[in-house]
Amino acid sequence: MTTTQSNTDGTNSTKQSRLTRLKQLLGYGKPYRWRFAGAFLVLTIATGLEMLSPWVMKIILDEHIAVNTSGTIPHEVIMLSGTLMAIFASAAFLQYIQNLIFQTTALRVVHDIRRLVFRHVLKLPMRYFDSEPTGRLVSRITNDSEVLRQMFVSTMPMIMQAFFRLVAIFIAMALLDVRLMLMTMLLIPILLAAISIYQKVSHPIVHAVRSQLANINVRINESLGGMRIIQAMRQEAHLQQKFNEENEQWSIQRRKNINIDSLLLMPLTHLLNGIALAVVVGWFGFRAGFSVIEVGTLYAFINYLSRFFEPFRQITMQMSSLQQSLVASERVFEILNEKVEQAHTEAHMNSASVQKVAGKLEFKNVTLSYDGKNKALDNVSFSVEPGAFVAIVGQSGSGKSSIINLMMRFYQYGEGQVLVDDQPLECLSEETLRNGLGLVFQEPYIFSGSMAENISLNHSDISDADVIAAAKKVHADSFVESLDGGYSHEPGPSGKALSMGERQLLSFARTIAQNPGILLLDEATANIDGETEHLIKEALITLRENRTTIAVAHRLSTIQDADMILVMDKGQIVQHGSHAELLAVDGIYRNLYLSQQFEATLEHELESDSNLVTA
Amino acid sequence: MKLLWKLRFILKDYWRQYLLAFICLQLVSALNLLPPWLIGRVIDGINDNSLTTQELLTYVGGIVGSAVLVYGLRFVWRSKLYGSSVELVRYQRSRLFAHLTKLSTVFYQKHTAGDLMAHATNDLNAVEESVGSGIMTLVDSFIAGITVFCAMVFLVDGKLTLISMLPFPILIWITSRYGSALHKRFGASQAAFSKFNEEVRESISGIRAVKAHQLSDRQIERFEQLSLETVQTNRRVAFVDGLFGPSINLFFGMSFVLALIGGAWLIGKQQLTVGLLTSFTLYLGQMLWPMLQFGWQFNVFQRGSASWGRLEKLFANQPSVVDADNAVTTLDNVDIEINIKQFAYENTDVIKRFTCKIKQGDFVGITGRTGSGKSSLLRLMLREFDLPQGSSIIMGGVALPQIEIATLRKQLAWVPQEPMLFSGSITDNIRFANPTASQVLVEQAAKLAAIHDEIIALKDGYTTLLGENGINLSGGQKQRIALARALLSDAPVLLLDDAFSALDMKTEATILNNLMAMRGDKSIILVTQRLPELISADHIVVMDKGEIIERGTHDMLMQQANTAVGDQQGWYARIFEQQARTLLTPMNDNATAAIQFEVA
Repeated sequence: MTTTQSNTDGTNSTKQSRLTRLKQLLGYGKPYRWRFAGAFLVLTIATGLEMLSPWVMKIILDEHIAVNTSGTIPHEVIMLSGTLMAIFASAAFLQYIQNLIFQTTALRVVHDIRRLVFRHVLKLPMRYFDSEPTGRLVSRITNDSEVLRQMFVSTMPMIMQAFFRLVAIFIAMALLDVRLMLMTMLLIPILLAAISIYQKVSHPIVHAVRSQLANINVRINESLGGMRIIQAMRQEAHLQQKFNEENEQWSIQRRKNINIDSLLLMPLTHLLNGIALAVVVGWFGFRAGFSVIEVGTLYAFINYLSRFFEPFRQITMQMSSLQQSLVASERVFEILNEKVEQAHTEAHMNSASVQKVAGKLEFKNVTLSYDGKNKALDNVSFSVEPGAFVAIVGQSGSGKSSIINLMMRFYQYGEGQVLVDDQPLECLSEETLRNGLGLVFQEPYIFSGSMAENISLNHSDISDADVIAAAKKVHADSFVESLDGGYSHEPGPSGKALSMGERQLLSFARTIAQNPGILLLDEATANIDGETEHLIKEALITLRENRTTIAVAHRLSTIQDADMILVMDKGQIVQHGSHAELLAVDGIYRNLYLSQQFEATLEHELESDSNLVTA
Repeated sequence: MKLLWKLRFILKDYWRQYLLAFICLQLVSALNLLPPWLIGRVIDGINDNSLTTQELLTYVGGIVGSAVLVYGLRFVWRSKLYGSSVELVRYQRSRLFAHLTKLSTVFYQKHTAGDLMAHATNDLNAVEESVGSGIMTLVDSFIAGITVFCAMVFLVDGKLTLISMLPFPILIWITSRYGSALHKRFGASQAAFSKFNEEVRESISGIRAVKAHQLSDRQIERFEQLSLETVQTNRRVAFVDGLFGPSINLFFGMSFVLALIGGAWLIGKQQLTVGLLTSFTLYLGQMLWPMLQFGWQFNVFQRGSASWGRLEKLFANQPSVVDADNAVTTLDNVDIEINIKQFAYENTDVIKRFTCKIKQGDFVGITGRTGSGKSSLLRLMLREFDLPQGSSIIMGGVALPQIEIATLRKQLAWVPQEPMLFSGSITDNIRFANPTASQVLVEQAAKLAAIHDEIIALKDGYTTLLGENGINLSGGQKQRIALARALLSDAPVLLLDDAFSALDMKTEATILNNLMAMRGDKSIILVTQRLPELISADHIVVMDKGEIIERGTHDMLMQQANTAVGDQQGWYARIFEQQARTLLTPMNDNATAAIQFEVA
């Protein structure tokens, strides 16, 4: 009993939230309410016209055909047929117009929702992207919003239309014969009962079919992946047997599903239609005994009766797509409900003007935690004078990247203070920050668009000449020019056609063009072929000229000329000093240096030696 | 129609169901003619005042009776016909699975799992759709159409039928034109959508770069442009898509009006009654649906036919490694003798001039750089590929192709580089090769693989369900479960392909100790890049570019090193020294880093 109780409570609360979601969803159509209203008006007229045709038929039958014995086609029949044709034509035309308005408006609504969601997503903090798989997020922005379109294109108009139709049919029926109309009304509870029974009975089975199919697909998928082991261990027959069992289950459920559909869907409405037809015919025949009834009336009634079932079918069908739209909208709204980055930052952003970053940097007792439990940075303090070259080393997970994450404001630090040119980091405007701090990624990201665009990144203050100059400075010009189309070459999605080294050079050019006061360098670890490596080393020296450089180094060989080396371990700075100073004392840096020397030699012999070093 | 011919075997297999369905369909079509005709009778009866209560009751009873009968018959034919298409898909799916389990490695190297998945899901679905609803709706429409047509001509009037059906061919032509236009425009909108999707993916996966380089505005602009493009292409779809309904209504209305005018004319000439005209218009209504279905189902059909074609191609693939006639099913021993002159895969030499003898109970180590042919050697032993003429692997005195594949593989317990696990419990995974093994044996194997303690530490212990490919386990745990699985298969030859790469040194040492206890009984062939594992091996083979560059015991290989100078030093000795140094040098002040590599 208690479980039932809680179940109903659960459905109540979800119903509630469904209703609010529906409201929210419909809210996005508000800017277009007049277009929707117009479409509804057209829809109403079209439906009305549709329902008028049986009535005209009745007039033709009763007043002209049934009494016609002239041997020719009465003039009025031609006239009325023309009218009927005109009704059909205008109903068809209005239907089309109505549909177009709904479709195009719905597309706009979806476009609006997408814009809103995308703009929102770009403002979300980094933390959000860490927890949300890319594929899922993309699918929410694209696929789920596509499903929402159904809501505006078909669900909303269809349900309205079904409603209009029913009203029009009942009005027409009442005009023909009120008592028969009332009798027809009796069908409504029967139909509703059938629909609800159908949904109750078929839901678990449809669900079972789906999950069984999912089971089967999982089985196929993993068997394909593990086929070699299956064959090596001679388990083909055993797996086949298990597969056949799953498959058999599927077929049993699927057949049940088919039987329920055949029992309760189309055949049942046809049965009800047939019985209602018999009642109508019987009624008219019975009445004919007392008074002369008009043939046309009977005809029109039969016609309306057969149209009566269509709206119910429509509504049943739309219910499931309404369901889907609501589920999709939930996913979309979830994104919109995510909090964007702190508002106080925005306030400062507005107040501070764009300024050049000179390059002084200071960390004062900074603490950062990603999950609220473990500290990624623990009481970190250091300061860097403008133009200095500071390297940060340490094992993976020691907090090196966290320093960069903090400075780029990807994450908000907990305690302490970060000062850029003696100003708190959070007081810098977005413009100042992004222009003043240039980040070079470990794996440079190449955007779709031309090579030139990838260097200028569409910042209006970087001219084509700047782009070429920047490419020259980092020796990227020769490879760019060798490409088909040179600077207008499009490297395709994620720049897969470019080699790792080329991508790296491109990202250097990007940074040079930006000319930041502070350079943040996340050094690449991937292997780069000899020739490019040489170019990259030279470019790095060019990059560092006249600016503060913070380099996260993975290979110690590249940072031996650093002004200061910070050695990190478990979120703390455990050693600092120059290369020579650090090498002179026993500690992490020396161990790291020695082990890397082994690694360097090993690397030539074995490609996958990483397992040896991690223990 | 080709598809129908290709699928004729289902007619053979399911002809009883089909015959029954066919009879039901025909009966439904015939019974459906009854109500309109009876209504016509009633109208005429009312019109000339000849209707008796008796007649009326008969007519009404007839309408109800036919409705009930049709309901029953519809249930039967749907259940039979759609049921048999389910049956067909079930059978084909099982057949496909069986076929896939038989195909050799060569096939799997040419086809990605994704492609094969698409065959098993999308293509089979398309076949179900075209065979189930497709063919049946086609047959249904055909039978119903013909029956109604006959009723219109013979029960009512041929001339009237001719006049009123004039718009139908135009309607069919027009809808098929819409269909092809829609197909094209739909393709364009799909393309726009996938471009849009790709753009979003790029922004999201590059979110760090987007933020760091302040690209939000650029990305938003591009996003909106592509989103607008999808709006445009979808509008173009809507322009055509919206035409279907109104066109059908229009042409059908036209046909209706024509029937009315023709009817009026015929009634005027006393050749038709009002009742019959009513029946006729009702028949006309029954005619519309089959006509439209006929056109539409051709699309479904075409898709099904293309899918079936793809499946047939898949079925046509034959396994490249097969049992020889009168293959050997028992082996005296599992001594292995490898003699490979040359083995190439896709025109690249993988193994050259390789000879090796492995006695039952030997511990043989194979090492060398990545890509030197070590794994390929194991794959050849498993007979994933056949060797060319002149090269051979012999087991127990019999060349591999002469041994029944099942017998051969029964001798080999292979632990692959990538441990492939399956969804199901840990127990099921360990006894994968030996499904009837008792829990005691399973745990024994797990203990040997040094994973038992970690398994019982899990909340559900051995019954813990693993996700697809053991997603909830660490790499090292997966490797050890794969090892336990191989140990439980109780094959006399263990093939370990870099099977400890994700393990820490301590666990690795424990496992090696356990394995060494089986020496002399089981042959152990260990491919590895961690040379200290090989210290006690009976024989070590060092490979490079498919060839043996050094061979001997550990001591022998190290000895060579001492006598040689500088660059002349052997590969094995050089790497061993480097590794030993790296392994024994404490890298940080962590207690765990001070690991002594212990080998029995």
